[in-house]
Amino acid sequence: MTIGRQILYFLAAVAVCGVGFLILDLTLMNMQGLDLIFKN
Amino acid sequence: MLRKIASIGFFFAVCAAVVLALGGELFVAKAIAEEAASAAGGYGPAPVLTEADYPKVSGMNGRLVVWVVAQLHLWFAAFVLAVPIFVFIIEAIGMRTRDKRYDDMAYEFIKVSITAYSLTAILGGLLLFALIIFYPHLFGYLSVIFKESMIYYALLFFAESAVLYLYYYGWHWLQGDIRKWIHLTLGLLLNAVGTTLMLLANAWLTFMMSPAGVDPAGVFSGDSWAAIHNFLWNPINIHRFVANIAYGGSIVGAYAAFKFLTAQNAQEKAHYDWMGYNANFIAICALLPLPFAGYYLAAEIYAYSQQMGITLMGGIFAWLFIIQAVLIGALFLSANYYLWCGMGRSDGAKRYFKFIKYIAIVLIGAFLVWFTPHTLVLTNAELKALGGPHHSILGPLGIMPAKNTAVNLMIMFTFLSFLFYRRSNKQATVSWERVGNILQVALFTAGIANILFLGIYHGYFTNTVYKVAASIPQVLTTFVVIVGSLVLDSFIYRGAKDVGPLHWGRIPDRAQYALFLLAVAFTWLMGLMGYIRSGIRQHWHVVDIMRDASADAYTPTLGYAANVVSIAAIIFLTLVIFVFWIAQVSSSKSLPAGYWKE
Repeated sequence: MTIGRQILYFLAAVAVCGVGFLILDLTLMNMQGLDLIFKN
Repeated sequence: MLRKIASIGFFFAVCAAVVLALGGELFVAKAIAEEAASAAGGYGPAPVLTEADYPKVSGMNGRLVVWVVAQLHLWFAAFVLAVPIFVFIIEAIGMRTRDKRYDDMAYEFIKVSITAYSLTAILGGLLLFALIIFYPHLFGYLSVIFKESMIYYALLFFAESAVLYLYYYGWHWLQGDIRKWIHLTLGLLLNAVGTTLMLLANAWLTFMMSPAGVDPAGVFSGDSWAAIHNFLWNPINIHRFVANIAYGGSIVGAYAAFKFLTAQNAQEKAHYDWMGYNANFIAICALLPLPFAGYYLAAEIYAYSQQMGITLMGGIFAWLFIIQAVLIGALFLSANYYLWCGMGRSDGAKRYFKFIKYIAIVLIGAFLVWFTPHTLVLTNAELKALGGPHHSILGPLGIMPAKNTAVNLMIMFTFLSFLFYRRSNKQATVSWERVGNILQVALFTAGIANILFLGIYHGYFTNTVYKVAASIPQVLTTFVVIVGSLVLDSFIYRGAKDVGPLHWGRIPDRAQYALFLLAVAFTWLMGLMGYIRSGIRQHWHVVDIMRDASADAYTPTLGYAANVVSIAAIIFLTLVIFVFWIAQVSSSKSLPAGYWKE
């Protein structure tokens, strides 16, 4: 496997995991009655 | 086959019986308490005391005696409650794998702890005498409220002793198909009884912090269940249960380290190296979730009483939490160092050596953030020179979001050390190994980025509510990364070949000192935290209900408290060395020639 392909797989996996974690964050903050982004 | 099914069925039937019995007991206790409550009467308010109500025994400071004896009792109690938990698991693993080494190790762990049971009971008796002698009115008040649980507590020791003796002395007798299941069931019962004892005792001390079932004057309603099930009962139960396991693992690890260093041959060295690894593994497994159990306890203390919460972490005891941070950092570094040294057992570990320095850099960086204080202890001149109580650059690292970020990273990287250790002797055979590794790295990268985002954004760009709330997704991110990695790893290494046999015993002596450090640091840490938990009651015996009117009703200086904890820790560790020595002596024989008549 070339270096380029490895980097592509890595970035794709980070993106998928990142979205997953953001959904987790959103769910857990909502369960506590809060949004993910702070509004004054 | 039928006998095997019958014995397994017996085991699960007893499990169900234990659960039902405990649940039923609580239900019955609740019913009795409610009936008593409805016919309540005859309970007076909490006594209002003066200094004259505290008996003096010449040359003895009552508070010091109760403090040291209670702490010694608790250290031993934590040890003897923890050992049956992992002995039960190790025995079950032995039964599953039919590998006798596990059975022998489980037996050796119980053997080491037997003397500790006696010492726990002796110290418990001494504590009871000390409380009756030095704090008779407090003990009288508590024993009125907790009379049922105190009687059950005393009676449960018969069950504890009976089960323990059968379990230990019957170890070699109860071997084989059905008997082994009976033996395992005895182990389960030992755990059930021990845990119940802990839950009952926890109720008494948490009542002193968060009283329930009493009115503001301290008049008991008659509802014992309400008094037991007070606000802080479950947070302490969870924290103590997990902490006991970590602590017990560290103490048996110290035993294994001592035996390794004094081993007479390579076989003994290999055996105690393996034992030390298992003990360290148990200690790390319980150490990883422990900060969260502690955070939950602190959060519940805050939720119950802001005053207690602020005294705990924003007032006089805050500096002791910096000492706690130093000790926990030492624990993590020590546990990781032992794992890194242990990698040398495998010939395939050389592939991973180059990564260790990066793990060390992250751990040390996180450790530095972990123990950075927020509000400094300063003289007026220093305050003026600094321009305030906080350092302008490092001060922001002193607040909880930074600490939570640091500890989550420490936990993740400790897990990474373990992952490398696990992989070091394996050669994957799956075709998608490279892709699997990329996925693992991506999972870690995304997890770390998420933890940093939550810690930095919610920690420094939002308000307090967000700061506290963001700690939950941080914890679960760490949990997801750990579980996800383990699952991925198990698939990547399915059908993997071993690089070679593990060379048990091939580990430098200095790694054993890492195990000693674990045991000593844990002991000192528990002493410190025990003092803090008790001390936040300040001038109350029972918070807001019964005031402490003794001559010692003041918070001592931090230096004094640290000295008391240190001296108590030295006494405890001396007693532990005695416990280890007795375990050794019991299996040695002298053959004096010519002494006995022929």
